[in-house]
Amino acid sequence: MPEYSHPDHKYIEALRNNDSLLIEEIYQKWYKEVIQYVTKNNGSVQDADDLFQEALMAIVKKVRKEDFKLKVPFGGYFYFIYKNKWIDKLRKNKKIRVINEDNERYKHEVDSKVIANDTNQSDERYQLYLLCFEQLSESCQKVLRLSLQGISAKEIMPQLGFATVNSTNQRIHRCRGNLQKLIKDHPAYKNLTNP
Amino acid sequence: MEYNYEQIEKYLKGELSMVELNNFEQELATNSTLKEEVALYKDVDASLNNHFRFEKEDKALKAMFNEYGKKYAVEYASDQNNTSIEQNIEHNDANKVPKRTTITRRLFPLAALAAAAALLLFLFNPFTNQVSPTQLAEQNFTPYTLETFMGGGQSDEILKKGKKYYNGKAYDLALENFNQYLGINANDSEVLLAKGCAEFKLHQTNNAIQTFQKIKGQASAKWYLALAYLKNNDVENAKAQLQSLTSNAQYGKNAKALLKEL
Repeated sequence: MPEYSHPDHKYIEALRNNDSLLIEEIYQKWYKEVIQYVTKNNGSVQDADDLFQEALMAIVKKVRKEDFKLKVPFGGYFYFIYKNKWIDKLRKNKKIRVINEDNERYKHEVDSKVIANDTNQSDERYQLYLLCFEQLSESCQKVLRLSLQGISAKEIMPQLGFATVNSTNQRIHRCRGNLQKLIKDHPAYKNLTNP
Repeated sequence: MEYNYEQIEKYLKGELSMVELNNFEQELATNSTLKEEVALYKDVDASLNNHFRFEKEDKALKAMFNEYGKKYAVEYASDQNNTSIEQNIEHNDANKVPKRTTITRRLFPLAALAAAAALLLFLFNPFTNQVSPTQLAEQNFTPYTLETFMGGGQSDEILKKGKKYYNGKAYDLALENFNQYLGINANDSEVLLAKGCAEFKLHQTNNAIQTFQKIKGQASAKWYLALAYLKNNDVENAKAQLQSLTSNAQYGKNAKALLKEL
């Protein structure tokens, strides 16, 4: 039996497939709501626009990473994603005055909240991995960029001028170790949930 | 602790021999740090694989988001303007603005649709995978953030209004106010930067170039000037500006990356 998904799952598919019509529908339905939320909570229209994009990108990253079926209405799911992201931003900027009560419209959508939290945590992990990747040496970035796309050591070897497949593999795994270490040593890592 | 990452990779790819697999799984069952290391390895693989594989798609998506953001922020700003204008009319403060705003409201969706269609057409052009200088300029452009002004003078009021429109992405309205303000404070580099960005967004690229050229010695002005040249397909002048930024703390990394793409 096919797994149940909410009719709003169409928005998830739209984000997965760059469907401009349905993506515009997301803007039509929820853009003003985000502006109103942000401008009431110490932010500008520009901040709201950035937040809207970040929340959508968090969903895009999530659906590309796993087979994700939305089983709750998109509005509530999206609300808890952008709200938590905004609260985090304000906390980081030490502007902690924020209306933390949930919107009446979504406050009873407990499942949406849980799924949104999971999406945000996955996004936070991804942002940290990327940040640490950018701290690697240029040569490690080059070799890992290829390896992480599934390109084999045999193909990487001539591209980056390694002498043998073995030395290419050694370089890949040493760089991979450096990346894992940078991630685990980062202060934000201990606040993340396990993948 | 150093792990054998080759072994972890082989385990995740199912490439361990039976003996190696048994040993590894026994270790995994009792060693919680190894378990964490493997889970992290797997998650990093999945996250960064998608990041690198979908770089082009992500750029296209962000460009689409920017266009829709612009369109709906303008709609929002127009709604806000209409509300305040209606209040002004009630207070007998009649002027030409309501008529202009009504026209603006009618024209903005059409203009924004046309701009979005044009953008999508060149983003998804099936005949080429090459990114043009104009596309590069658009992809790298983020409007300058105009700081908050707390003054109370007449020119500050004009600027406040301009900033409100600018943040609401109603760039044509912002431009009117910036021009008015610069008539009084011609050398305000912050406002010149915002004015240039508004002109850039309104595709008045030659004007944007002239505006950014008025700001001397500021790295941000050089960055935006480079993007404006790029938008005009003037790669040589863009490169000259970018070269001068390569050792700059704020723009150096982006300048180098852009030079590489050129």
